[in-house]
Amino acid sequence: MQGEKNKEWNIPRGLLFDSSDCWLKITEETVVGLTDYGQSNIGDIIYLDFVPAGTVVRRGDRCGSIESGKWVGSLLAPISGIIVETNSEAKADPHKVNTDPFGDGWLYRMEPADRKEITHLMNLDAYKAWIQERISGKAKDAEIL
Amino acid sequence: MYHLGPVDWVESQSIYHALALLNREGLIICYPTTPYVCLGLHDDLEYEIDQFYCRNVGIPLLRRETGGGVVYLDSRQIFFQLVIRQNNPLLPLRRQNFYEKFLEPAISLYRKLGLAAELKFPADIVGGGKKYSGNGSGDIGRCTAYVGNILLDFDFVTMSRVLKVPDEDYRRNLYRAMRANILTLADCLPCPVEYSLLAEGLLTGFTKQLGNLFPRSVDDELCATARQVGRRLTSREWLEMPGRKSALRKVKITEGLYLQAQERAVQNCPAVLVREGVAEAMTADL
Amino acid sequence: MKQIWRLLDTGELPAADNMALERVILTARSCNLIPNTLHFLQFSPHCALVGYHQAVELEIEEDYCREHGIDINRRISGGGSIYMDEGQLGWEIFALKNTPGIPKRLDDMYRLMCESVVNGLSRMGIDARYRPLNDIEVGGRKISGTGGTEMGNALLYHGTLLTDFNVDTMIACLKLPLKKLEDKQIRSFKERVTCLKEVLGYVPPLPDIKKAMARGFAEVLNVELMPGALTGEEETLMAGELPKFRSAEWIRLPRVLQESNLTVADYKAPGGLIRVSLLIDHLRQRIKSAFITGDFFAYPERSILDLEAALKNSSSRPDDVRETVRRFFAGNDVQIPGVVPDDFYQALSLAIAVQSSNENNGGNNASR
Repeated sequence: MQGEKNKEWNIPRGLLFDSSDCWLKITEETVVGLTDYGQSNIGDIIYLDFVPAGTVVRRGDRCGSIESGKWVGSLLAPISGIIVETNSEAKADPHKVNTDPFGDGWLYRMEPADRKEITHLMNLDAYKAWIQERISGKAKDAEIL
Repeated sequence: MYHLGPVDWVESQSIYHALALLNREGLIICYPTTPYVCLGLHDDLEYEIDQFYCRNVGIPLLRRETGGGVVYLDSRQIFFQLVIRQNNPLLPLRRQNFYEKFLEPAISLYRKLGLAAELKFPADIVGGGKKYSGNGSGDIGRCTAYVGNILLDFDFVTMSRVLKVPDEDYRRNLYRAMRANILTLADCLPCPVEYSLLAEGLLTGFTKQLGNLFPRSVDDELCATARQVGRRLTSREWLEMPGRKSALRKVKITEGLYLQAQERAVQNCPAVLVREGVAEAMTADL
Repeated sequence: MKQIWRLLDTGELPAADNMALERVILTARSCNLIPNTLHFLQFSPHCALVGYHQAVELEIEEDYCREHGIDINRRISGGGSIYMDEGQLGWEIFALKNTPGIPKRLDDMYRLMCESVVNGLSRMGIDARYRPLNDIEVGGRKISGTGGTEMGNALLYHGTLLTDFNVDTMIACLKLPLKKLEDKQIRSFKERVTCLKEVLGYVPPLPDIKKAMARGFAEVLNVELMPGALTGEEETLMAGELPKFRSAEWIRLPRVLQESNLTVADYKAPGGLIRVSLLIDHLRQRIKSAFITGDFFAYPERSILDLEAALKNSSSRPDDVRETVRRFFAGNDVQIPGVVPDDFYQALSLAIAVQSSNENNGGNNASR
């Protein structure tokens, strides 16, 4: 995608973001993935798993698991809705999430339940600021764990 | 008349219970500041609720003494609760005949907002074939409490998540069925409506129905009783009281509309929507 | 003023109970029902545990386990399969992620936790070291493996401590990167792990071990530990969770497609033969684990163990393997007369290139 560089982090335009380093492309459906910064924080992803397509998730619900370095982290739903499709190719080869987080490494598609939840998400500038806050160690919330 | 506005989640139930136990009549208008799940008197906790999920996401539980089913309640609703002595001549022998009077203020309010609204027996307010609100009642002490609400907006996802379901297909169908058959003001109106406007509309309507309403505040006796009652309504013992169960999971969506789980043997049809006794199959398709 | 954490010791429990407890305590912590907790646990009967995403049938010798009364279960944390018998000690930290003193970055958090164990071991007179990413070793030999997971705003980080360990049973019940009929391989493999008995010559009484470990955690984490039991709420949660952790659905059905094939390759370098045994997941292009032997001489001896640790769960793509090997030798002062880093790369590539047909755990051999 055409994008704007923020240091070495590739952060394309046209997306929204949440504080867990998820990106969302919102059209009729919503595609969700992990940002370049997010995948870099997690490290080499060994396993990726999702709740089954068709699961109803509330914003903040666990909708998948991601393993790196013997750590099983949670993928949390950035908005409420129904998981419509999960990326089976990324699940089979999680390396895609590391190498192409905005392309082939997308995670899942959702049918959003409440468009108003978009107000909880960040635009590009806000997300860039959020990255900087964490890099400079000023963020209050745990960003990596 | 107790126009309380935002109250603690427990108080949104305990105050009218306390009023009834103290044998005082009154109308309460309020809304809870934080969300909770409220079981009806005859609901079974184990059958109805995914307690692990509720615990995990911090949604507390309460069982009320009035009928009706499990509801997810939050600040996007406005409650109107009428406590009336059982010997009050206003109260008919058949309790459910009072709903017309009790719900008239809310129905008028919907109509004032430009929405078609009417009572669907016994206690739903409906418009265009869909439900605006579900309401209930129950005898508490020597009074009867009638409880109603108006949905400014509703969290259908959380409602479907807190309920215990046989599988995720059933949950998805439940979510879709609720979404398709329940309407909120946010669905119907171009702009959000202020709480104060709705409260005022309800008060005007109740004044018409009941006569002059004298504003009161929650006095010490009412407060203390409400606190005591609140502890009981949220106690483990009370919550775990056994209740109604079906062999196959059944969730009421509106009056006359249920989502009934199917035996696993029925392929690609995890649930059936039963509308006025007629079944409509729901597939497992996304 | 120091934070006060709970010190919880649940003694010997079956695997399902311990696995359920992990979920229960983590849930309770994330819901703020309990304080941060250091938990000691043991397993009875002995058991084989797979990591959260692993498949039992690829990691565990199920027939052997059945015949010898070894329970099988799955952890909620990551990492590989392990064998725990009655004498071994498990230690677990349950804490809020934003606990002052617990680093935000995972790597740093691992280090802190592992240094706590190192401190505890030093109180027993053991010179242990943290080996990134997740191991604690004594003289290069692993004495404790670690891993973790999270729930909401809480984390679980845990590990084992080998006290008096039956390596033969471990080799028999887990599918490891070695040919089990080869004595030489088995002997070499035993050199990869150690236990308190081997290091000290005896096993201290378990209460003493726990005391030393507790003091290690208390000092490094700068907390005060107060003994406590499971709360009523935890007991209630446990009643709901235990059936799930006993179920086949939990233990046996990961949804992640994976495979595990043993390949062995011999590569003749000028300085000697390099034999590489790999467990490879070709589907996911992962070296699950590596076992490197041969008749070369490596200084220090432990460097080969460290190389194996670096290869564990690494990518099996050619460029990535080259980079893993290059990075290892660039970052470690290793002398192997007659063997250069590229020789290891060639040996690994040979093993990876062999087509797997792992029907009887025989895998494939290749030599060059």
